[in-house]
Amino acid sequence: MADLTYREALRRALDDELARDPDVFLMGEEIGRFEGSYKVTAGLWQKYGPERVRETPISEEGFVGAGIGAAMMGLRPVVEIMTINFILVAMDQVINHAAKIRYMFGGAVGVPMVIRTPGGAGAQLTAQHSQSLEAWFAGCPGIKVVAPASVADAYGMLKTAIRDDDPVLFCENLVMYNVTGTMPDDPDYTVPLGRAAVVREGSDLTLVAHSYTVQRALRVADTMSRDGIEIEVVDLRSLRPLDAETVAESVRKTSRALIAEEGWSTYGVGAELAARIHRLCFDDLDAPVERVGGAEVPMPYSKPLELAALPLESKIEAAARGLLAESGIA
Amino acid sequence: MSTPARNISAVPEPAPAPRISDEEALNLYYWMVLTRATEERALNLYRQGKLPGSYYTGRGQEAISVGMAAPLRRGADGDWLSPWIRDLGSYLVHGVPVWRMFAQFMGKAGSTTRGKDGNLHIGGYEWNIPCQVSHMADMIPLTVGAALAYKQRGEDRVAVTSFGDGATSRGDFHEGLNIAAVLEVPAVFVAENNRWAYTTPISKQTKVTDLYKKALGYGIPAIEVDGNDVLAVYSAMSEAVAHCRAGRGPRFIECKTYRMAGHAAHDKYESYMPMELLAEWSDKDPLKRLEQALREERTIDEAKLEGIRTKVKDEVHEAVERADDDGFADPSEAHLGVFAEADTDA
Ligand SMILES: Cc1ncc(C[n+]2csc(CCOP(=O)(O)OP(=O)(O)O)c2C)c(N)n1
Ligand SMILES: [Mg+2]
Repeated sequence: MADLTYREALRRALDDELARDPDVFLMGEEIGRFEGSYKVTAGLWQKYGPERVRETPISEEGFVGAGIGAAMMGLRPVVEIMTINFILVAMDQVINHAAKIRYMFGGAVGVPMVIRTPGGAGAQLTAQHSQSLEAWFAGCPGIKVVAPASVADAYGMLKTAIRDDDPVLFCENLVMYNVTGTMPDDPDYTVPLGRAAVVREGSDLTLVAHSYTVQRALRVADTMSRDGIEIEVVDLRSLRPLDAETVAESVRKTSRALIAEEGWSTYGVGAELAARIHRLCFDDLDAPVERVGGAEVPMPYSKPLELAALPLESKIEAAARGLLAESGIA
Repeated sequence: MSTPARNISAVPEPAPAPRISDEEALNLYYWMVLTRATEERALNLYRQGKLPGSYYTGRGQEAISVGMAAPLRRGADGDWLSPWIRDLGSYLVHGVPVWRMFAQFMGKAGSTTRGKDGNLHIGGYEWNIPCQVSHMADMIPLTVGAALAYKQRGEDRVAVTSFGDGATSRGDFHEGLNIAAVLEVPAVFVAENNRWAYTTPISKQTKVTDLYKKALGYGIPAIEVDGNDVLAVYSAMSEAVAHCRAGRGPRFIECKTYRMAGHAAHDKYESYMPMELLAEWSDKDPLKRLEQALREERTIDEAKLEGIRTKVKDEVHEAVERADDDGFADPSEAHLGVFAEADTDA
């Protein structure tokens, strides 16, 4: 077991897959000589050369589309979009092509492409640079959407995503790049897509989150544990395929469910999970399913306003306590 | 009946440059000095950790930001101006008070957006400056739309936007220019070719490194000017604006310049930008050049220039103090303003 950063775990996964499969190549803005805006591709251009680590002009729609075409012809492109906010200018290619081609071709042609991109808020980067849009993509059949929240998952899931025969939107998080964690030494370590993980056991309430919000959830669980309340934290890891069964198993045990996410709650991950939990756990629930998300506004800039809009620990904790009070535990 | 041939895609005949009066030239000097002083002060504040987010400067590109804004009409009924992040000077010339620029950087209540948006995402109806969409080239179609509104209402107003060389790789650049040409709207597009986009040199951005040629391809009269000569930019812009006001369709001006620092304040540009080129362009500094022209060609007194510099120093000092003293908007305001009707569920 080695300690390294989320960023380094991603870099190693890319390195391993570039070495393993000559069809794998990287493509995106600033990812070569400059090593990517967030340095995830550090050293790879030097090691694999400009054809395996392709730098592009600032043409997101163009190179996402080119990635899809190359994938249809059997290559395995890993396309980097500088941040998830910029994928909006390439939406048509992602939704109308990447996500639909296998089905529209009657299953005969696939798009084995990964789009890697970081999202998240909290650094006063304002409305157009602080978004968590993954739920939009997860709402579309045909594209897998994953959002690892740990170093080991970042490594193991990126390798699996690259080997997957379908398109995968791989959501990273700006706040997590410098987070450290342990990673198994096994070079063949992979993590399947579509499996949630119980990252903290508890008996009083199930708190479900993905990406950076998992860390917030764990901090809330620690705080409340001091008052004798034990929260079970489920890291969703994948939004599509969605592992509702692992969530349901936890809720059957705790009888209460709270979903936290950094994106907007309305039509969000929590909305989908709430529907699934109500169906799967109707008789086990002691309280309605609750959710916490970012305020339903474009993210403001000034610190006091930004804090008011973020789904901070204090807001998650208040929602958890509200749920517990509602069902008789103070 | 045949319509007279009209070669709209030709490079326009260089109009005999109207003489720029000493008074106008000194006015440009004032704005250039103010722009640089404001940016330098803001950069210091950023380095001291007093400005959040990220910080971009337009050092070395002030001739463009000032020269492009100076010929425009100001105010809510004036011309639309949507400047690129390098163009702090455009905001000043188009009417944004200096202290509100600092308040904007600091996210204070007196910012042009009441703290809702940051850095050069400055905007306000009172100046006819739209808040920027930071996705490159996105402001081009919006500018076409503003120009269309003026045309449709029969007003002799003009809409102007600026952008970098990197933006010309985006679809919105191409769609926006094409629509502007087809609809014959009164819009002026100002390309700032500083030869870099982040760490990507222009040679890797496009095979057509003379950006004005792209506009010619869409049927928009286009020229290139020395982007480090404010008098040249001002003349070209004045001519283009007059052409638009006369209802003769869009114009495109490419300003050739150089990015004198990293992409943003945190960017370690020494690792990728050739230092010899920087030194070479440093000699072409637009402020130095204007000073030289004022002193040598127009024999303007050094004392007069010094007076302008002193005035600017005081102005910037006062502006920072005022912004510092300003408070933040109440956190509850985070939830306001998504829709026109305050009580609509966001
Ligand atoms: C669609 C989109 N992709 C990526 C970015 C990130 N980005 C911000 S500025 C920039 C480079 C801009 O280069 P250029 O247009 O030449 O302007 P300059 O910075 O040189 O003034 C990039 C890639 C963006 N803002 N928008
Ligand atoms: Mg540039």
